[in-house]
Amino acid sequence: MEYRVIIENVKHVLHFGKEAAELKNRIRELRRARGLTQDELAGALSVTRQTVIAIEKGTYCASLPLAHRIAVFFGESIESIFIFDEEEQ
Amino acid sequence: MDFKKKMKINMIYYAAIVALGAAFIVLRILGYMPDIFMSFGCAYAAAGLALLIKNGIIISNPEKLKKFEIESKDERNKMINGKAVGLAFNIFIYAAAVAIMALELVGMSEAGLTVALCLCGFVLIYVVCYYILRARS
Repeated sequence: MEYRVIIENVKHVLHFGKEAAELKNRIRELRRARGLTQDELAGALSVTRQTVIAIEKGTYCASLPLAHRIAVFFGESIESIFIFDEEEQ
Repeated sequence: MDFKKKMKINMIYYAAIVALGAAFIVLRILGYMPDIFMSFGCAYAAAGLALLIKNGIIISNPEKLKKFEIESKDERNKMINGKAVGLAFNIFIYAAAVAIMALELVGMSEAGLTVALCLCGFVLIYVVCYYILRARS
């Protein structure tokens, strides 16, 4: 039983599987519409390119301040960029 | 605080670490310190010097400084670091528990007790840190 507890703890820390929150967004679409590269967008948002890639893929959920910066950068509202599907969550 | 200024302040700390390491080495050579301080001195001096050189290179190049600042402040990097620390903590707790049992089984009770006390101290520090962070958040 002990090993299952260890695996659950590891999963919890790494947020593996269904617990990982995947948030859909329109960042890739908006970035491409403006002819920007991921590197350029990352520079404008003061984050690393890896963070932009992870947000676009939906594997990382941006914090509220970053989501706000993204919304301001694209001139749209947060809820129009980040799609929160309650059923999926 | 300006990031460049922060890095310059860090360089003062690194210089202090190098000086401490050098002092340990000199005191060991003069015979005022036990052998172990030679190892500590070398480790401190080497680590401090490496960090000093690294910071010096970054500060002298504005492009590298900007890149380093972004990498240091990036929220995903911080989150990954936090998770890595959490995972390491979990693994350490389980590994220490196994080590305590193994040491008891092979008859090294004193060593087991030492590890157990270290583990208790570690968990106590965690609890204190948890409540401090909870109060501040």
